[in-house]
Amino acid sequence: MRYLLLVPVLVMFTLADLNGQSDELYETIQYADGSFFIGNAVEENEHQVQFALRSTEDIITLDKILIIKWINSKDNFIFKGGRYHKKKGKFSKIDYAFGGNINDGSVQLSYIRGKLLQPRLGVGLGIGVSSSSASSVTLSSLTFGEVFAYGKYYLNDNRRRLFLDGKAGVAIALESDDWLSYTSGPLLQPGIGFEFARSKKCRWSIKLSQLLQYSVIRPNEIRNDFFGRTINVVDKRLFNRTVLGFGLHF
Amino acid sequence: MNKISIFIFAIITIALTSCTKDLGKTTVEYEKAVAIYGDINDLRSTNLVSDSKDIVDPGKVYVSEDLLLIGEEGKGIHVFDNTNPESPEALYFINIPENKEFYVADNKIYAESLYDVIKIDIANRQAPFIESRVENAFGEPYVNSKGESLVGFNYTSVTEELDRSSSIFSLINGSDPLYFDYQEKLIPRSNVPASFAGSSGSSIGTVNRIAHTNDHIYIISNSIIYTFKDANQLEKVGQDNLSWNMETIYPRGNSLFIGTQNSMEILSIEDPDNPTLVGVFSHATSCDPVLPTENTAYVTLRSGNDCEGNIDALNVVDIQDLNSPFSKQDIEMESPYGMTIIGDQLYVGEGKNGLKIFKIQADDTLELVDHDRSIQAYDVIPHPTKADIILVASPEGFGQYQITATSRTLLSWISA
Repeated sequence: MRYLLLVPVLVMFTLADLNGQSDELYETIQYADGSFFIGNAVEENEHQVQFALRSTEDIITLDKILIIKWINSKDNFIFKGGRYHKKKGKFSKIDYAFGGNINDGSVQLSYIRGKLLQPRLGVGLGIGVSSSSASSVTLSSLTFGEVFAYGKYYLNDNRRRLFLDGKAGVAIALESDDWLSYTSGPLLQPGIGFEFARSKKCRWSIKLSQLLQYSVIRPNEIRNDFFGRTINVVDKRLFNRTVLGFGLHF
Repeated sequence: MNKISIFIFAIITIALTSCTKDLGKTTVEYEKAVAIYGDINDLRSTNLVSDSKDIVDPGKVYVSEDLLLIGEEGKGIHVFDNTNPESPEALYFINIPENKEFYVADNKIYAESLYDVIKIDIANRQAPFIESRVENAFGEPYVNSKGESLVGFNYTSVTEELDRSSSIFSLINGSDPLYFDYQEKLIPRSNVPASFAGSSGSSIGTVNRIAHTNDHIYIISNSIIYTFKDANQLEKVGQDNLSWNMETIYPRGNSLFIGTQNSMEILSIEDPDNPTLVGVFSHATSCDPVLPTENTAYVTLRSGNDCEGNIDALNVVDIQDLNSPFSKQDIEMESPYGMTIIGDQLYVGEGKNGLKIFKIQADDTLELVDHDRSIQAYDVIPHPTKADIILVASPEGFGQYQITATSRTLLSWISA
């Protein structure tokens, strides 16, 4: 019941952003003397660009050799202060997430490499490592390697960009042994979050996701009954954990 | 605005984490003890003596000048004529329902049975009889809706799917069977009478739970010490909550030495009706047989199947000041069980790893002189009158050995 009450809160928060006005789009040029010119390129050749200033509508001539950075609206969504989001090209992301549920916790670290197929749609592949507890059956942490396909869809083009993403792949048991046996299994992790525009190449994001992962755990630690016989425990577990993630995009 | 986003996401994460849990089922194979109900008076009327029978599930062992008594878990005691240790002869079987522990002194057997403590006179080897019984010494009988008393447990290995949040699952992580009453409800471990819940799983070792001294009987359960006065008739005079995981009791003079999984506790019985704690020696969690002498107590610590902890050692503890015992020697062992002193030598059973013999030095510290791996030794018991004979107990049976300074010769073997 408590879970259901959170849904309208989350929906209101996200809808407010979906319905928000987009910032205006224009180009930004950072010049060698430290100047920033905001406007639109009207004409360019090999060495120079004719640039119409947004504020005065004057057209100035800029030498390309002196341009340090040129955020082009064909390739990026551009915002005030030189902040931007990429519209196309490849992306990389390092993601760190932690969280759990009422009984147990999980920590994840992953690397994703992908490509924006469309301004709002990106796909990729990722690898990672995670550590999860299963306190009811073992005191040891379960370590997994993650290999997954990744997809992301942006719901808007704002400076604070709302997205839905998901991981689908396999979690590979890394430390299973005779003492504590646990299996690899499928991994699914949908999420929702915000990515924040920056004037620099790196930007960061925050995300809420639900880790769904299956493993069969057989703890063979010292666990014996009155007569010295091992108590056999087979725990077929679907990890169901909410994690808060922070991403670094570059 | 970013800080607000972080805050909101964090709040939502915390809220959701408190609402969710992992899904799935856990299948557990464990030992389930289901209560058996019956007329307790019928069981109390069981014929004391029956024909001798095979040893199936050996427990406690006692040897006297002419008798060898071997407990049968939950059933009673096998009685052998051991006048000639080279050929012990089975005499009869003493029926004691639900018995796991007994103690012998002055031709009397003190044994637990169901909720009772009984005293059996064996002065006449051919005609033992119950001299005294303290009914309900360990508490009032559990009864079901028909008024029948809990008279035992039926142990079966079961495989069940359990919810991880259930009380049953949380208890399974322990090392004891789970006890269920007639309504399939759990009986708290602490409520199970000592007779039913005896630590017989570790009785292959110096694990006496009954001691007789100063005309009193002391019996320990997991957490309670029961005190009985032994005049002509047994009389219960007290019970006290003492410590958890008590396993052994050993008397010496006006003191009782209690071994628990974490400590050796010393009680004064200057007032024999009221044992009083006077000193504690803490040690790593482990099973803990104790053998005290005049100034020193030898304590074996064992890890493994029925014991928590991961220490296997032999501690030599100075007990000259009972209020402040301290360790003066720690010896690494393999799997120590019971022990006994014969002359100036300490014999320590190392279970499947054999028998170790230590020389006791002038300062009571120990020097290893021999390690015989040919003998599986769990409990080691000296013959009371023949100093060159020891009895060694193992899961396969009992051997009587003639010992010299350098060798052990098997005289006889009783299979289990």
